[in-house]
Amino acid sequence: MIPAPFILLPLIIALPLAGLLKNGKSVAYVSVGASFISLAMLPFISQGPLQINWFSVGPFQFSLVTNVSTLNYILLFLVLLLSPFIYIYSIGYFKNRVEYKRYYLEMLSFTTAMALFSIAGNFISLFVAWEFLSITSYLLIGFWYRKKSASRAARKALTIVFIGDIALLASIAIIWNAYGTLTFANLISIPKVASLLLLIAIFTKSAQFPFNEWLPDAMEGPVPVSAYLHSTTMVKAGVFIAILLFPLFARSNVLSYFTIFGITTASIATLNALKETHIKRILAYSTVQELGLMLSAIGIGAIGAALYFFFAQAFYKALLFFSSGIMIEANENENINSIYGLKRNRLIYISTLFGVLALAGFIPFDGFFSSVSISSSFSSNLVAYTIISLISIGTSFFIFRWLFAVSKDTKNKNISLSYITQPKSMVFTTAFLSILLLLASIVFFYFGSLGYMLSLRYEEAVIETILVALGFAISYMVYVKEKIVVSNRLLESLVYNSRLFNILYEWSAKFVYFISDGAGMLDLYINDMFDWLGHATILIGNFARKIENGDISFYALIIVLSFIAMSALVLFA
Amino acid sequence: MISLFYALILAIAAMFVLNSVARILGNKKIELAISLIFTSLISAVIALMLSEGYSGIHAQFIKLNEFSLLLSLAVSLGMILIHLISFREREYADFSILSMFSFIGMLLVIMSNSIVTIFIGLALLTVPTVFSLFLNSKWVEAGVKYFIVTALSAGLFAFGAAMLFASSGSLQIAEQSYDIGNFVAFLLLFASIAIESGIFPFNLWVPDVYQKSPAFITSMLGGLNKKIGLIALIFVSLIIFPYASKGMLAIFSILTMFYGNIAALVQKNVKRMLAYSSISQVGYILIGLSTLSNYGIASSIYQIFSHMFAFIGLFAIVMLMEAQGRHEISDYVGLNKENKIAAFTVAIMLLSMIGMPFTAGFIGKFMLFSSAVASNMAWLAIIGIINTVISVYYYAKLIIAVYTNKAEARPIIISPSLATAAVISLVIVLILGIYPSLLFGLAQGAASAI
Repeated sequence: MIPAPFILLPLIIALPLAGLLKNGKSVAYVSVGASFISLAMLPFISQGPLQINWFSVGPFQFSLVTNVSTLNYILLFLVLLLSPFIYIYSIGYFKNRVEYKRYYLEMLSFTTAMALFSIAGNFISLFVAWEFLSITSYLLIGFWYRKKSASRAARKALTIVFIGDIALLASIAIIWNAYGTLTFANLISIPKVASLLLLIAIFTKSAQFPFNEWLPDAMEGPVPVSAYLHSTTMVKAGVFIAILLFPLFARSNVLSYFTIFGITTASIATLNALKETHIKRILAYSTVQELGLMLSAIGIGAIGAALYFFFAQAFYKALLFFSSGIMIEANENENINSIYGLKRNRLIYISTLFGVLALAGFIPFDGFFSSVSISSSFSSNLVAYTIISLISIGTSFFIFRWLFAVSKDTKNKNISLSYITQPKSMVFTTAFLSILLLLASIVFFYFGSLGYMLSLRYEEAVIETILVALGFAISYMVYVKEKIVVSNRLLESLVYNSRLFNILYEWSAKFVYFISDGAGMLDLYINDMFDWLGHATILIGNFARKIENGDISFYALIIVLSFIAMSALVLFA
Repeated sequence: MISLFYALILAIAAMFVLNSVARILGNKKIELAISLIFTSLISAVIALMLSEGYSGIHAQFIKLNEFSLLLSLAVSLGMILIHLISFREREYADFSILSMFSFIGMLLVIMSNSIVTIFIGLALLTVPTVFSLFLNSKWVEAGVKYFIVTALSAGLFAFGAAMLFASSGSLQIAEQSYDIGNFVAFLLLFASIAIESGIFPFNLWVPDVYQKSPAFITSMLGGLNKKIGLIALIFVSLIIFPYASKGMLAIFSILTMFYGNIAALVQKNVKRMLAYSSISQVGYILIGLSTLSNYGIASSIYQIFSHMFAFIGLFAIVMLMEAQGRHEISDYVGLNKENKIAAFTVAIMLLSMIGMPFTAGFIGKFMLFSSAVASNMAWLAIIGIINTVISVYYYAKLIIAVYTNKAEARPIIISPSLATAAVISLVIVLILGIYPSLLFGLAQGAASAI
């Protein structure tokens, strides 16, 4: 049995090793190797908590606690299982881009931070990991930092996520003040303020309303980054905390916020996805929607459903991002209307089809089970159930629109050729993920044995199939047969490109600017004061320099004189 | 248990004999190998004794406990780095043997149980250092100055020791008692040690000597000799005269901090600036000592460690630059383009001296200031923080210079021994900064063993 923190070691060791290597390819191989070793260690890690004392300040003992329970294990498993796929896929993806080293170093630090996050057992290790996630996410979104939009998106993400970071820190301080412990296992309840602050932290990280806008923008990052950070692992950090601290949230009566905000976010994201044309942003909106659904399920106590969704979503999302990466490479375009010929590569086409069917929720893919269990848990609430059914139709509609758009045929020989000549590392990881996708749906039947309640009601399954088929049918009529023409003017003004949100952000930014202008005026005076202080100090420094004239007899004299002065002062005072 | 002590003596003796043989043969590499092997062996023995909780008094003048073992370990690790740094120099053959004498002197001071041992130890430490400064005619100015001040210091110490003996009839540290009659003795001892460790106003010689010495001797002067002075100060002021020293140490701490930092602001020469910076660091360390609390002394020990490795590690790079005739801060411009490891080392070591989180210096300063607050001396902590702010100005100047781009930058190659020294001290500084309880527990044990 290996103690839990040791699972980070291969990744941590790989960091300086990769940093020292000159050749980009070998950096990639070292990273892939490290990720495989970590994955291989996974079955052997020991369960239960482990405490490492960090340092102490007075009564405050800083210690990193790690804990491995079923829940931690699921996230750790997801993170470590996907990392080799991502790393291998990236070898091909970065073939024509000479930035292997920076990319893999940032990815390795992200994976380390995410693994630490998954085994966090107290707020200190959680916070350390959380901050590393923010920073690595920022670096990876802005990976093509020479592109203006990428650096802007990175800054947006960092700004929004920092709100959550500060909220998390504040809630940690409140919890420490109230109970004097930061270990999850020792906490029975937390003050309501702290739980609301935690809620903000969760909403920023998991891109929930009103912080939902950074995630679609984060698609400026490289494709594997979107597949790993911004759809399957990092954005789920918030959901993970919500599940982990569920009893604490339940005791402070804030669960209903999860449901309200979750469903709101899911609806907004679905509406946005209907109209979006950027290949990755559609998937990003779908991620936001899924996160919203998970949180809303947590809000009504359906932990099992949320957790299975949490698990299952990772595979088809990563798969869809992988295949969209291949499409972008082949077409050198990111707009679904200008992407052609997915069918030219059968393997990719079938894998993508699997992913699309899973995301839409067709039986027997894992997406079906997750959406059925989610909607089953809402069956007692008619309003929520209706909204979720509509979302289900919408999901199926927009993802088939996506598929129809990218699989239209082309006569362009270059495109079909480049589909076939895509790097093997990209094609095979995509195909392999589609197998994992099917395995994930088998996992559903064993999920109950992990200790989480899951219900699968047959009438729900039938309804779900009908809804999904409806979405498919509408999508088919609109985009393939072109019999129905949808006028999107209303949608456009309301949600297209989320103008409403950006205006909201602008207003709040203006408000902050107003305050900071006032502070700036004050700052100028303080600045002047410090300038004077600095000048005075340097004057004294010049004087001090004159004392040291290099004459050793003078120094000896000073020593003797100051000894006499010291004695006189001490003895006669 | 007792055999470990004999193993230590044997290792030291063997190191001397073998190193002398190597010197006679005239092979520098063998000399380095012997020095490294035996210094590491000595560190290992000390670490073993430390882990077994060894303590005891030998022949009435050597006392081993957690405190002396921990600091001996620090000093022997420091010596390893000094050997690595100085290896490339022409004078290494002689310096190696001379530094070994200094090493014994350091161990004697740290392990001393009587005033005489401290005296002999200090003499054994400083005289070989003076000799090594006479190895090259370019360094003679520094050598003469160092010789004169240490002679003065030794004279004051002998006076003080004699007065202590006259009043108590014993030379054992533990048997001294404080009374108004031997207070002059305390002042004499204090002045003597203040000269060694560069406490204001006894520090005027420091910048001259540090600047004119070669970098490897400067790193030894600032990294080790100065710290030994502080350890002697712990013995004299905290064990013999605790009540007399409380207010006094605080006052000298403030004076030293301000003088070191303010004078460093206007310096242009890197070594001279670092000399002033090391003076200010002594001021910070005095904060912890002046609290007289277990926590404060432990923080001081922590800071002694952190500054020792930061200083020596930084001088590995200063050494590299000096070999190319680059002495001024403006000469360091573009170092990042020329050698990334060197630039990174400079940056991290300076950040550690500033007290940047995740470096040893942060933890050291944090503990020092919080110990002052815990002993109801918050004003001292505030003065310390003000000084830290002042110090950022000159440290940052060097960091900025290092990371400023230069038009024509040719890569410079760092010799393996220098690189090893730099990397070892980098790792130590970072580990102590990230995982402080590794050392802080030991430091607390050491502080309570005094």
